[in-house]
Amino acid sequence: MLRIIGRRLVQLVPTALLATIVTFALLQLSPGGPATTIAGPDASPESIAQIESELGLDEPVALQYWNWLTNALTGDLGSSFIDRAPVTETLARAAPVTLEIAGLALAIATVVGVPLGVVSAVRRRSVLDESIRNASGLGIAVPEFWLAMIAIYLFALQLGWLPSGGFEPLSDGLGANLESVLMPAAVLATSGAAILTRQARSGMIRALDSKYVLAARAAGVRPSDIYLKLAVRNSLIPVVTVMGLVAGTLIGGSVLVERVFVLPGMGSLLIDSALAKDYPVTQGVMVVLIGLILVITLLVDVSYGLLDPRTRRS
Amino acid sequence: MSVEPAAAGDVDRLLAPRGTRTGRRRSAGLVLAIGFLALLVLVAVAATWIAPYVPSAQDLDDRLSGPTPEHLLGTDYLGRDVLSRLLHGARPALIGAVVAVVVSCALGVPWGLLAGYYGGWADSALMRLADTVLVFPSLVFAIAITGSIGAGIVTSMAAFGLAISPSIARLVRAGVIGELHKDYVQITRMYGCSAGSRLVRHILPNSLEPLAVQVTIYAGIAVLAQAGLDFLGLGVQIPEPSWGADLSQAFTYILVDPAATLAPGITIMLTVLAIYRVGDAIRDRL
Repeated sequence: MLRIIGRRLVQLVPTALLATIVTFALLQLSPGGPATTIAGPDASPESIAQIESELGLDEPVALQYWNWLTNALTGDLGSSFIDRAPVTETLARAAPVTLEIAGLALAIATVVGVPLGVVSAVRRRSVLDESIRNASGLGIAVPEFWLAMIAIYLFALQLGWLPSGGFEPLSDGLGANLESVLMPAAVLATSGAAILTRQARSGMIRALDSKYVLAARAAGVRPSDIYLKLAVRNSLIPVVTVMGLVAGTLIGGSVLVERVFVLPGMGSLLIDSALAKDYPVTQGVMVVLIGLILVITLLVDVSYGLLDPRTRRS
Repeated sequence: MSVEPAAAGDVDRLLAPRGTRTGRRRSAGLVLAIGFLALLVLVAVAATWIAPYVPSAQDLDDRLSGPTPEHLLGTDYLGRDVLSRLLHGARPALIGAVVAVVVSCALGVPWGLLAGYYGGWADSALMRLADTVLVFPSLVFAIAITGSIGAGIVTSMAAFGLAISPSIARLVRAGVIGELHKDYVQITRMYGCSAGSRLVRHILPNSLEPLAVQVTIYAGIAVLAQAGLDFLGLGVQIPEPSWGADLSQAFTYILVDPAATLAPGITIMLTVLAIYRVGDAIRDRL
C-alpha cells in the first residue's frame, strides 16, 4: 500500500511541474503585459518600461519562471503587483474560506447523493426512482450561481434565516461561522450531489445485477444485508471514480458561488487578480488549486486499494 | 468533465421500449427538447424581428416594473424590456456553445488521432500534456486565460474549449486504438493508402460515435460555463444582452423585481436540460 502511494506521489511531480509551466505560459499571452494595465491607458512608454524593470518583467520568460519556481519551492510565491502584499499571506487568508465551503459542499453532496442513488437503485423503476433521476437531471443543468441568488432571496431576504453573504471566520464562534457558510456550501453541493446520485445508482444497479448478489439471494441472505453489506460497498467504487471530477466541479463552481455570496475566498481572489492582471496572485491561486486537485486525485487512487483489494496487486 | 455513461440506463431502456408508458413519455420529452432547441436557434437568428422592443432601449420612467401587459417579463433597472433582452441573449449563448465545441474538437480530435495512431513516445508525451491540462478545473482555466488575453465571448469560450479539448483527445485516442487492429485497417495498408488518408478517411469516421454523445454533453456544460463567465464580466460585456450578465444586474434588484432574475436562470436551465436530453437520445441510438 505504502509503495503504491509512494509511486503515485512520484508520478505527480512532473504533472505538477508541467502545470506550473502551463500556468506561467497562459499569463504570458497577455497583449502588452501587466505593466501596460498597471500604468494605465495614458502612460508613456518610458513609465511602462520602468514598471516592467521594477517588477522584473523585462527579463527573459524562462528566467522569470526559474526565479518564480525556485522561490515557490521555499514557500515564497512573490508579491502582488498592485499592493505589494506577499502572495502567500493573501492566500493564507483566502484559502480557508474556499476550503471550508468546498469541503462542506463535498460532505453534503456525498451524504445527500450516495443514499439517494442507492435508494433509487433498490427501488428501480418506481415513482421514487423516476423522481430522484429527474431531480438529479435538474441538479446537473441548473446554473449554481443563479441557484445562489434564489437561495439568498428566499432564505436571507424573505425568511431571514441566514445571512445573505459575507464570511464569519471560525474565530468569531462556530455558530456564526456555520451560518455564513451553510447556504454557499449547500448551493455548491448541487451538481456534485447530482453526479454522485447518478453514479451511486448505476454502481448499485450493476452490483445488484451481479452473480454474487444472486448467489447471496439464493443462499437466503436477508435483503437488508445484501443491500447494505454486499452491494453498497461494491457500488462505491464507481462513486469514488468520479470524486476527482466532483472536486474539480466544486472548485470551479466555488469561484461563481463565492462571487454571489461576497466571500473573500480563492475564487474571488482569482477573478479580481485575473481582471487586474495581478499575475503573482493569479499564479498563486492556480498553484494552490492545482495542488488541491492533485492531492484529491492521489486520495482517490489510494481509496481504490482500500475499497477493492484486487487493485492492490497491479 | 466527463460523466461515465451509466450502464444501468441500458437495462432500463430495454425494459421501457417504445409504446410503453415510460417509453412514450421519454420520446415526448425528446420531441419537447428538440422543439425547444429549434425555437432557440430561430430566436437567436431572428431576435431583431421577434423581440417586442430594442434590447438596449431605456425607459427611465418605467423601471423594474415587474410583469405587465406591455412588458411580459417586466423591465430592468434602466427600464429595458427583460423579454427582449432574454430573446437577444439566445444569440451569444448559442455562439458561445458552438465556439467551445468547435475549438475543443479542432484541438482534441487531431490530438487524440495522432496519439492513438502513432503510439510510443508521441503518445506518452501527448497524453501527459492532456493529463496536465485536465488538472485545471475548466472554468478556472478559462478565467485565467480570459483575464490575460481580455474578456469577450469568443475568447472566453475558446479558452473553455481549450480546457476541455484533452477530454476529447482521450476519447478519440481510445476510439482509434480500438480500431487500429481491425481487418479493414490492415486492408488499407495492403492497398497502400497513405497514413494520413488511412487516419482521416477510415479510422476517424469509425471512432467518432462515442464522441457525438460527449460533444453534446460538453455543449450543455459550455452553456452553463458561458453564463457563469458572462456573470463574472469575462464574457459578453454589458450593455450587450446576455443571460449571465443580465442575471448579475437583475440580482442587485431581486427584492424589488424577482421576475427579472427568474427568467434568465430558468431559460439557461431549460436550454441545458434540452441539450442533455438530445445527448441521451444520441447515446440510445448508438
